[in-house]
Amino acid sequence: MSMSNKLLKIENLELSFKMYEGVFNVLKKINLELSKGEKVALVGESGSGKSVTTKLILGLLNQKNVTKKGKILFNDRNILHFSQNEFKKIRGKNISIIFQDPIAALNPVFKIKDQFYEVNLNNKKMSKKDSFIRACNALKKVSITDPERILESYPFQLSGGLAQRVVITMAMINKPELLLADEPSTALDVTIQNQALDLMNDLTKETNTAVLLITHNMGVVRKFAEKVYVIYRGVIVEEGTKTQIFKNPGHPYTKALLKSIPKLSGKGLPQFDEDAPDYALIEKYTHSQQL
Amino acid sequence: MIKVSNISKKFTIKNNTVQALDDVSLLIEEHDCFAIVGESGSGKTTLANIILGIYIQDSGEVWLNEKQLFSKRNLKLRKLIQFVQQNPMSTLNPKKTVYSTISLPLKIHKIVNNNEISERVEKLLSYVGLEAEYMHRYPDTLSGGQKQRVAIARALASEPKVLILDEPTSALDVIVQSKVLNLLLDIKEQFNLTYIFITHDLSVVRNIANKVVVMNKGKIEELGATNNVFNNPTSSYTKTLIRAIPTVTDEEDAIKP
Repeated sequence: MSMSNKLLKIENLELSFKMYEGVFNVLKKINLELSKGEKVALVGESGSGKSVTTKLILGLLNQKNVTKKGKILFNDRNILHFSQNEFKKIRGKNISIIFQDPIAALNPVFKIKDQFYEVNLNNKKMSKKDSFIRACNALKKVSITDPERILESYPFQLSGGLAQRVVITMAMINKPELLLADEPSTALDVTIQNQALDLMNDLTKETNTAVLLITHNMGVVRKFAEKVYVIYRGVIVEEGTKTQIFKNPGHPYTKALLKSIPKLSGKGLPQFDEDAPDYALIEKYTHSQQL
Repeated sequence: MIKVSNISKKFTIKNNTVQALDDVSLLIEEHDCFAIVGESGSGKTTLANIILGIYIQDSGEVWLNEKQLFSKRNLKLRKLIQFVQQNPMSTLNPKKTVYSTISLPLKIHKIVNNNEISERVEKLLSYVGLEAEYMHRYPDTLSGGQKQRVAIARALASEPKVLILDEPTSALDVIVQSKVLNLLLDIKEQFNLTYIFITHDLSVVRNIANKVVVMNKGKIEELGATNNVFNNPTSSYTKTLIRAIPTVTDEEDAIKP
């Protein structure tokens, strides 16, 4: 197959860190697929390997102690062993990312306009003046009423909600084919969290951008994603469509994640054994035959 | 137990004034789990800091039982109200072992004799579900949930009557969050504590608080028993907050106002 309609295809991806104490296997042969315009969630807890997956897709893990195996096919090209120069051509243009904490994601010593300028240059060479106008128009579209003031501000002068809007706009301004969203709403209040997800939804629909959403909150997954992968200790333990995962979760870890959110209807907190089972020992459960 | 009456607090930076609290009055009774809910900037943490005596209010009074609380307090009063903060990574001193972290309040408040300290630290750790061997560890060898457990043990050390919990689980993963919340409920029963629980997570509030106050821009939007506030919210702001909670089942969606 030379041409598949898969935008991103991760095949048997393995990642390990060589440490003083020994070798840590962080990702153990994971497989994952995204079609154009599809919204996929990768769900798991801290340390499950979800954030390093996004780092590998962006080419941000290049330390000497890192071993990578397998393939990351982006538009049928294996980008796993791309050089930094090759990554520079796609980063911020074809693939972009939104991080958890919007204020920390922005450089505190540069004005917003200068940070937009850098992103705009990824698209094509332009003057600072043109860049300002382009950023202005993009911010207007996300219902920011005074984009000129925002662009002349430093990040710390913005509220969390506003900063997240800026970061999402920045990530989407070059109409990327793939957007990685690493816990984009965890640092935010519930109402702003909702707005941020809605905004991501609207913008990506318009440009047919595929989204890989990284989160540990199943409530956020339900609101946003079409397809779900559940990752636990570097193993994809379950995959399926949103309906399958929520109506008929197969793996005990998925069930635990679903149970863990306190219910709006009350009836007390979810209960867990102090000694949680080692979910990694439980066999992988997949809905993928029906996908 | 704790009465807050007509508290106001303004912060002024250069020419910019923020009314963090505007004439707030509350009554927290003994054995309540009293939730203070609101978005960032609603004034919930400012209120907690005033109750703790960290900030001084512009006007209004705070009472603990029959005693008025000022920001300068003697040891006896300070011992009664303890605090657990949001971020377990930054609340523990990275250069101190769990033992010295927990034994400090024991020494300051002279809870036990010096030769019994180690025994008491062990006991406090067992209350929060940690084994005695954790005593000799440093914070960076603990997971997020374990750190938060140590912070809770430290707060319990001085044998307080009131715990102020400022987003105690917001920095934790969902499964760990449930475990820590369950632990907090157990401890509350065991030591007959009163909780002031600050959070923006309404689904947590629904399941652990008996009373809730919804704050917005320094003012009280709604105040009442948790059941009433969730079943019949009167303020449109409360409705917006409840609607924004991410849910995992259709049944829950149906309850949203």
